[in-house]
Amino acid sequence: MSDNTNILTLAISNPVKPGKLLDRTKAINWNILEDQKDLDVWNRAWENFWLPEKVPLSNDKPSWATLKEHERRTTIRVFTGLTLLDTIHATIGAPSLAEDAQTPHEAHVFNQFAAMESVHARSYSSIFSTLCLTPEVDDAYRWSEENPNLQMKAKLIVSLYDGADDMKRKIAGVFLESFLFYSGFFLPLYWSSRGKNTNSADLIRLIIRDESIHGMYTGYKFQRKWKTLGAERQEELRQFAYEMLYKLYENELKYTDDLYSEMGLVEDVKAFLHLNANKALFNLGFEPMFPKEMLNVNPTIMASLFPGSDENHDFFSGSGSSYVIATKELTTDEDWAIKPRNPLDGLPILQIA
Amino acid sequence: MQLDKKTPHYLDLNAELNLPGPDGRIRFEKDHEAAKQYFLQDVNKNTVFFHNLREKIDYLIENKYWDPKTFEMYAFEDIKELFKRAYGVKFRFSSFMGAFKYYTSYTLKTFDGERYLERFEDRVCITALYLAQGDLQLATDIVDEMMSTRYQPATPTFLSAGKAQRGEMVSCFLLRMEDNMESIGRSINSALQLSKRGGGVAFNLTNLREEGAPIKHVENQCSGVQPIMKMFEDAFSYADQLGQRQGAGAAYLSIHHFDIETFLDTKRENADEKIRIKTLSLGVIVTDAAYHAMEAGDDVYQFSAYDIERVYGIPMGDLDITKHYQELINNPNIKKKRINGRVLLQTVGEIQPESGYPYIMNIDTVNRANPNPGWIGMSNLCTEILQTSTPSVFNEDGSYKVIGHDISCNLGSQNVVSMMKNAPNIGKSVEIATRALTSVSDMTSIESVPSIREGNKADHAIGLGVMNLAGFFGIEEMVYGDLESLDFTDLYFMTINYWSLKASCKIARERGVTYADFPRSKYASGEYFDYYTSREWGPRTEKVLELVKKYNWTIPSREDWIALAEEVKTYGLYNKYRLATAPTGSISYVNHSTSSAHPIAERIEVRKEGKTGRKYYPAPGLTNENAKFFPTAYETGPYAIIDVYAAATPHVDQGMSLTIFLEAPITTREVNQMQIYAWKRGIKTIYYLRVKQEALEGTEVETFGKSPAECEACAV
Repeated sequence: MSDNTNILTLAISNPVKPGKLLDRTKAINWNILEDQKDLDVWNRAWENFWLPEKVPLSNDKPSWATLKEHERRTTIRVFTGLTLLDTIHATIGAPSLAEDAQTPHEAHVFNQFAAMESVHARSYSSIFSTLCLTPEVDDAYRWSEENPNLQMKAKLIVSLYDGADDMKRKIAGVFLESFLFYSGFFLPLYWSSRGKNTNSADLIRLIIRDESIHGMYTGYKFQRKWKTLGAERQEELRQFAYEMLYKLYENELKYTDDLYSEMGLVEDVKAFLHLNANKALFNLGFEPMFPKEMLNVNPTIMASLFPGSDENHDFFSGSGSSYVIATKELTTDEDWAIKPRNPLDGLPILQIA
Repeated sequence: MQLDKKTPHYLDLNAELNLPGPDGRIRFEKDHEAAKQYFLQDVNKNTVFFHNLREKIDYLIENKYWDPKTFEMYAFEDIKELFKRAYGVKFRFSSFMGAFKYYTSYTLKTFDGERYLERFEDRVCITALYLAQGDLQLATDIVDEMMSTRYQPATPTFLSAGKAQRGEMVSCFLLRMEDNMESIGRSINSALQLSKRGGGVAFNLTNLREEGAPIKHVENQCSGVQPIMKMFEDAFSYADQLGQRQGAGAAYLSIHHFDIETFLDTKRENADEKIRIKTLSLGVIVTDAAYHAMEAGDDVYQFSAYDIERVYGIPMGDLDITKHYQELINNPNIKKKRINGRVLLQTVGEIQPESGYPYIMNIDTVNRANPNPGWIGMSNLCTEILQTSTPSVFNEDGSYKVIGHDISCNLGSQNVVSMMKNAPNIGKSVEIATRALTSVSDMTSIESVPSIREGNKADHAIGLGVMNLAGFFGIEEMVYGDLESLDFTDLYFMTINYWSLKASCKIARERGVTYADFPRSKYASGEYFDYYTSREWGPRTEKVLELVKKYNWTIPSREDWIALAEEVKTYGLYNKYRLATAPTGSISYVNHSTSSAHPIAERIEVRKEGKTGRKYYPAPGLTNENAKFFPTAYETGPYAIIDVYAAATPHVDQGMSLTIFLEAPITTREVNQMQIYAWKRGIKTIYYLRVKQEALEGTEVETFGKSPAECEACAV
């Protein structure tokens, strides 16, 4: 592994109990892998490391000022909702998933996820402190504590994280990262497609870049263990997953209504929920719940979703969401010994008849 | 989104361009439909209607939208004819993005920003009338050049020309900074003033004394370049051009400056908030001495700027460090330190993938190619401007004791595809573009920064560049970076250079004026022309030979160059610098060109800007059939780009913005290898590093919403 992680491991501030396979105080050896996926995801996760400070959020100030009062209020509420979910995942979710690790490396990957979830939670505060006034923010936090539907989904997820069933914990993790976040992600993507708050959207895209990996990896670990289980237990989990998802979905509909009715976006967000619910099931290896007709997501949002970094930004107004950490490697004598020539040199000139 | 379901919103249609159809083909028709719906749903409804041109002109002058001076120099009948001529072209935007970009960023709007007052044709005519300054023939020629999309002035000119409320038409400023508080203070003031008037400002920090240097002979007093960068960053974000364009700045520093490591660390992902620089662009000036040290595996020395100024009597930024390198190392009066050269370059290679910065300026390559007397110490915000400058001296009250010469540049670009369609008249197109750019220089006098004003007065520097080079390759089925494409690039840029010299010489002859330094230049001595008069010129591949015939393109011969050298010697040149290839972001969307001389970024580019948001743009010239001749910059890789730029560079007196595109995962060594190659191929500057990362397997969007057949299709 590259040594660029050395400077960055400091970012892990979360005290995590060592995974069950590690409690014989055995040093982790990344040269012996039980599952190649652990290393692939670890590498990608660190390559994608970022901090909110690099995004020039203050460039959003002029467009923030053009939002109507209810649009601002909705936007802040969306971000407080996301902050709550990230807080849960950073402090309870990812650490508990680390404890269930099936390989020693898996625990370390989840530790990285936990650290990034803390970064995400921190990012929303950066948006607040840059764009909003304190009373507005306080108001939104109060709203997030009092909104029954937001509290409901938090409770449901926390109860699974705290439960005795490691597979249900994974289901909860995938639902959180692949489904529940997206009702919130919708709005910044919507603003960005309308030329507003594009730097906040950069930040959200960085978060989506992370969450798509977290959801995929958690689901992958679920599927890996699933294969080893008996048919009865498999069926129990499958049923549980669909029931839980439906419960969350019903709650999410109410939450969407609370949040988006003022802006008239409820129907668009619903289609988006269906799409992400299907994605969460896909990550767990299950069949989709919603038929294609219900996945009519607005194309501007759909086209913003690609987790690859394809956005070609202009450097004058933003920092982009595509930068990565490179692996350090010194140049060698051979690199310096090259003697490139102009391929046209020495070719004869053709006569123009 | 809230529209009725029958007519899709133009933004939705545009986004569908990024979602391939069921047969896997790119749905270009969705973008055409988006452009059409944009006009129906937005532009037509929101454009103020006038019965005739007279009414329109009167209204817009009376209400302080158009500058009356634009019209006073012409007879109304002539103006009317000109508008007729422009409208007669029946111009249509070729993409949604082009139309959207034009209407959001360029066209004149009512003061409340709600309604449009100009169409594209109006903006072109106003620009032509304004720049031609009463010369009806020139105004007509400019209209023809612009309506045919052969020529497109840079954003500040196209945005501002002829408007009553406007910023400056010059886009680009480069300021020296000397090692004293008067100069630093003056620079902050200049940053605010120039930023307010548009475009970007670059500073060279190399002259400034390092962290820990003495102040009034007391050691360890100076806090170095970083706090100054912070001040500039704040100044730029405060001032913008009437909210139309954000202020932007760049800071350059020599690799031999003591503070180079701190300078680079400001862009690190984990930089402390106190030292982090978010929006200021950074550029590192690299000498041959430094490269040679790295080549040998040695350390690269950093010298005290404070000591250099005391020992040599000139600021560090003006010193040819390569020439004096050993001497500097051996001089005990110059404080120095050293860093392993390859490690230092590795640091550059670490920060670029994280942030896109720093730019690189190969200062010795630049100065060897400089046709004018003096030293080029820095570049600008887009790394295409390379000119000499001289220092100002200030009194204690901040006033000028000596007004030095600082650099400004106004830019414009020619579309290679449109130019080649009219190849027999390339000379005329270059002349009209040169005259349009020269007008901007003549009409500009930046009073708030006297050193810029004086520099422009003496130099009349302009920068004519190209765009749509990759578009031409695609249409003519040449592969970017292949031998044929290099052959074409070499001859095309040579042709442009020839006609540019011819035009600048013609202007000097008409006016009996040359730029101030002309008598001491390599043009006057004839040395500049040796490169052209010592060899024969012509195509070296069958493909380019075929293009020469197909387009009836006359390539200037050795004899033409010999005659031109004589002409220039006799009459001089009006413009001290003439050519520069800008990155052409916004204007290439409006002009429907691939940007600059780069390959396309993506076949369907996802473009995000502060003002327009996230939009989708099909590569100009691309069809579902010719996709293999439109490789993306990530597919061609950096070496093809460097080769194309290396073919053009000998014919460009200033620079070219060369962006490097790399696909993650990246090692610093890959980045460095590419920099070594660029240096050895004679590249003058390197602009941004852009990074693309493919989605990790299992996280792609396609895998949960569509059938596997469609996934395949996305790989087009």
